[in-house]
Amino acid sequence: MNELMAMFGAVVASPMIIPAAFGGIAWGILGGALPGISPSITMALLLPFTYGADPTAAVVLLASTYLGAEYGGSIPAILIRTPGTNSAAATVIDGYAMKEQGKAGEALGISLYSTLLGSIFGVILLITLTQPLANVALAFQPTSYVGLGVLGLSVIASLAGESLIKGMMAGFIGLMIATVGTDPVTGLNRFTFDDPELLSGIPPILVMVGIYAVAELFEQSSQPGWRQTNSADASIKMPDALMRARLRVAQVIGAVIGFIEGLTPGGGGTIAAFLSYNEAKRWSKKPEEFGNGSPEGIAAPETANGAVSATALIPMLGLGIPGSNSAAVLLGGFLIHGMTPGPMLFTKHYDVVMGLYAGKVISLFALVIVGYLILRPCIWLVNRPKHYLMAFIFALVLSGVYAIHNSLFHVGIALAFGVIGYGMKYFRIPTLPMVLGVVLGFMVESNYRRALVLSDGDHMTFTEDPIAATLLALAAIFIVISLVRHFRDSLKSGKAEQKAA
Amino acid sequence: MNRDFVAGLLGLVLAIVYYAMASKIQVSQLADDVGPEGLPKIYAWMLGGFSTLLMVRALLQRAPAPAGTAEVKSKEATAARRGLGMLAIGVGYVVLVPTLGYPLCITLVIAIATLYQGGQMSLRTAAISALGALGLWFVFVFLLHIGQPAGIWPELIERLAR
Repeated sequence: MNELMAMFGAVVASPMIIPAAFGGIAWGILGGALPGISPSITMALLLPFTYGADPTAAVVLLASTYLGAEYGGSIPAILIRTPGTNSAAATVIDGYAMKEQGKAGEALGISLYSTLLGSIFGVILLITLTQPLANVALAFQPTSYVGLGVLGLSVIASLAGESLIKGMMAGFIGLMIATVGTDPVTGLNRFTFDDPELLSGIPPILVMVGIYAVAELFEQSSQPGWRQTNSADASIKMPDALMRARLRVAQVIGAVIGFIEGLTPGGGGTIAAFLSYNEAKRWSKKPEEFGNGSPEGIAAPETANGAVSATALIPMLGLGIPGSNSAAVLLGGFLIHGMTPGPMLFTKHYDVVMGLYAGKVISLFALVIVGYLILRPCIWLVNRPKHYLMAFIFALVLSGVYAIHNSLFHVGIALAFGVIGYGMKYFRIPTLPMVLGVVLGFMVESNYRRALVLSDGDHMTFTEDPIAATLLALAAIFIVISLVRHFRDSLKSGKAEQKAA
Repeated sequence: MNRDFVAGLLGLVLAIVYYAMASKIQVSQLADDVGPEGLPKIYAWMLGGFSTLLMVRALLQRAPAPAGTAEVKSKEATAARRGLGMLAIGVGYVVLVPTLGYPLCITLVIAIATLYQGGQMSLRTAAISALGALGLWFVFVFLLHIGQPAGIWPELIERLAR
């Protein structure tokens, strides 16, 4: 109750919080919807503008941008099969499939509704559990990160589709890509071809833009024009009661996983989205619809993304540990105004923290209003002639990729991954395992080796850390269940073929 | 050779090349027990193993080519050629943008890609390309303050002004 009063007082004392929340959401959706512009870049672009602003309004602006960008990433994921952000990659699968079925408005409605629910859940946890829950993240050691990474990689077995062998191949190719750059322990260069642009590795967003957007553009160039979305489809369809009931389990899964991953430094929205997609498929009554336009396939990752955008702030605010790039940029926003996030923040700048909480609540309303208004122009876009849209998207991708690091070399890398993605489609190799390998590879390797250095090369260290042991056991269970399912499905299809013969 | 066999073969070649490169990584005095080449070598072995499995499976499951295969292959070859055309537009952009500058180059990308995708060469296409480029410039350069390549124009204008 005291916190509610303090939040209300913060809004009265700093009314600029309200326009900051609305502005941040609008800016975030715009940035998140642009392929190649991640939430952290969208937020970082705002940093120079916050210097002269009221500190509370400044941090609210940045935090709202984070939420807006997490939602904005799903718009191109659904409409043009291009994840605007890393964490929207899982939404591409069923979101684009629904769009292809003429259900773009419904898919976007599910995305907005799920992001909102995830955010509400996340904001409640942010307000009530910040300090106690942050202690869990504090206990994480390198061994725990390895467990987390292996758990994320275990999803490959489920995402492999029709062929487990091809899925594993793709996963290892992803892990190989993640080794490009400076070695995390010795600092030696690996697979860089003496090119300084490769020293910091290949950014995962380039891989995603390449294999999703560029490869899709290559493929679309030989495909006939897609079916236009008719006027009925073009109106935003928020889920009805029946659909809301159907989505409930997937949203609970997304919210819980989003909470855990948001709290875990290094976890982040991408892992949360893929894990929740996988779990939603596992618990769904209609798992066969996943990959073919399942509403739950959108709801789970989007709920997770919404939750992460709030819970990722818990270790940052409570301990000063940014769990993701976006949280790091928000931490930068605090530092600009002479405030150091951590336990002392609550005593020294209690009013700013309460203002931030109030801003997060206001941004939930802003998400619905601004999100609803911005969706209509997006659906209008889908109805434009295909050749104009494809050409414009190609130009947008080239511009967006350049904007990440002002590098034409990166544009070349994205085009190269477009060719790789096109080739993978031709050979029917799933691309998602490769993305997971790229996203998790560095975290797994760097922490695995640090853990071994700390334990003098003793691998038992991974079982001695209870968090790591639990995560590794969960990964083992996931893999065994997936293998059993694959072999069972193979046997079934073999028997069906024999009968048909 | 069927498609899976070729995919396996490509995977195997990649694994061998990657392993060879991993073997050439410098040895450091600071190296830990695993070393900078440790996990890359394991990844190469794993990729090589799975690629070989795929090839073996492809050979064991070899089935007679279904009717119409030649037609399908011809369509796929055409699709691949069209995809390569888009790649060429992208590569052309990367090569030319440092000289021609962002506004002109991105206008050309939109116009050429539109025509390549089946659009008509018309005043409308030209106008949409120019407006599209203007829109992108507005968002990236004006709104987001992300500098895009200016090309030779600023220098040229400066010289002419002198």
